[in-house]
Amino acid sequence: MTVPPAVETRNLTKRYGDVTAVDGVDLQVERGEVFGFLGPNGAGKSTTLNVLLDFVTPTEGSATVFGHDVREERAAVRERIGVVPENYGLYDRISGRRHVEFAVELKDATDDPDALLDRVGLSPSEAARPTGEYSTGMSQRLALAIALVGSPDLLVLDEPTSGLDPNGVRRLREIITSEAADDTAVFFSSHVLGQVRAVADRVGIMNRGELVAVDTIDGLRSELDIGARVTLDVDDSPDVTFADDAITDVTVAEGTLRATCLEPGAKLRLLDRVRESVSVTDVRIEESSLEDLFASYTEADAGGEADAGAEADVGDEADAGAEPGGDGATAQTNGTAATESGSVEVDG
Amino acid sequence: MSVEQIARKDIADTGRSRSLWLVVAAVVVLTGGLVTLAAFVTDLGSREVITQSLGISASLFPIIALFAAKGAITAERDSGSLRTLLALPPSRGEVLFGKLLGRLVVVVVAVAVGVVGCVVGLLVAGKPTSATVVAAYAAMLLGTVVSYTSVGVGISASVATDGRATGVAVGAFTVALLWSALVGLVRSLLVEVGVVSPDASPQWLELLGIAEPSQAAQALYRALVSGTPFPGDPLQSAWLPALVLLLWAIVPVAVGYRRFRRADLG
Repeated sequence: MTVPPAVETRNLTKRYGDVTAVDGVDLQVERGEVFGFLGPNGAGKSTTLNVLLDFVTPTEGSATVFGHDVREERAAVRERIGVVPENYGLYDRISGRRHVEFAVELKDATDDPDALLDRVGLSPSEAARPTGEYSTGMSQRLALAIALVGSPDLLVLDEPTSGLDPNGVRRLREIITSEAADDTAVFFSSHVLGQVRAVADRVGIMNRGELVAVDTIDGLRSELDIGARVTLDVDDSPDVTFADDAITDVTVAEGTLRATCLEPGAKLRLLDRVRESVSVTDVRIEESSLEDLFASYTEADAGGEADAGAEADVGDEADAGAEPGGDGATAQTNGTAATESGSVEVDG
Repeated sequence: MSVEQIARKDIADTGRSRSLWLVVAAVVVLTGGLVTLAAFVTDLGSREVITQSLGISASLFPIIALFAAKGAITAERDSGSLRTLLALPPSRGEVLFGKLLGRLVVVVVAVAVGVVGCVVGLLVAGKPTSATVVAAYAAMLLGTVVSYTSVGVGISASVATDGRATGVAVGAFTVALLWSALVGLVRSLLVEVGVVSPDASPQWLELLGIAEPSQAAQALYRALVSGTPFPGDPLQSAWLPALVLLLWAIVPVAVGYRRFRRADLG
């Protein structure tokens, strides 16, 4: 007998009149897995989560949590999940601590509210204040504490980092990691990639109501072969050429050299090579590779290049070195710019 | 039991709000306060004092109860706390009935305080009243507030925003206020076109007259103080208006529940 996954949707579809918010999504989140649900605002992430939470009735398809239908077996689902919903609200006149107590009561749990509040980083004096006085970050912490009541087997977090300061984000990350270590599945959405990368075992990317990719971050990155963007401040125009497949899109302008490095070692090779002819005054490495990857999935359609992102990777592995899916046009533009600058030969 | 927990929390939450105290104060002033005042400044007997003040209570209780109830669901829907609550174990039904229970407790307690105030006021004024009249008065007040609380919660469960709930509640109050006039208008029109003869009063038209809760509550009061609460004519009896009030207490919430259960809270 197979064990049902933490979350499973089959052909999940939600239409509002003519607008299809979610279009035939088949998704699985395994037990104990941290699953990052990505996509731009309006991609259908929240609608999918809303169906999962039984806030919204699907037009077609079904959703189950640990094998229980989210609508028909609501009580069984609620026993096992903890949720930070999108656009949730708190009771302004009631203290944060009372919120947690109430959740403990409703969940018939045995948690110590103070321990939970401490875990999310709300001090006893903050917890004693009515939530009407809370900042967004404090509200987010409290919402997380409520979600953790009853040690759920699945945490569903809709944009949990919004409004959190860096400290709060770090703490959230620690909590997600430790929950996952306890075999809790975490299904969380975000439109910010950087926050997903650090914790997610797998990511799913939504765009225009469709689930366009599901993979590990490394898997997605290697499929698309998108590198890091390196910017060097230089004191003179370097006279260099690169016979290196891992260094592409090199441009030089106004004392700045930009290049894309497709593998970690290429950054150092680039730096060494440039320093042979000029001195480098500053180095910046943009962690934009994932943003690019994200963009290649979510913007390809918008640009009329339907499915370019999603299909490029399934195609020819031998050609993988070529263009990152959907970004062909961008690469070309860079190439032109490089030629015009005249000072650098572009190789690759 | 989630319904009870939600009701308790609802009372605790609204207990911190000024609007709740406004509701309680309005009910107490319009019952105990009004009756006591009338007992002191007029020569009327206790029964007449109560009968006179009934009209005012019957006119204003609908808006007070609607005001107390119309935000039960929509205010939480607007603030998003409904999503927080529904992410926890309570079902939509438990939330709705918990909220209904919470609001009912508030209005019923307010009426109880008002009635006690009224009895005390009459005693102080030297015009003690009979238990029958007090019971009839209490039944009339409770019938009105319970019905309109149900209407208010039903409205709140049926619409998407608090603004819309307010609009519909004001509409409902206007109809309540104008009910007798509207029924009178219907009668005049029917007499005009010759369907009803000028001196006849068809039973269905009288039934229509007490179809609105505060009219039914007044009919209930009249029947209870008449000495013969259960005569042969249902329209003069206590049971028919009581039945009307019971339906008003159940049907609006039931309709609201059906709609709320299916609503997209996206």
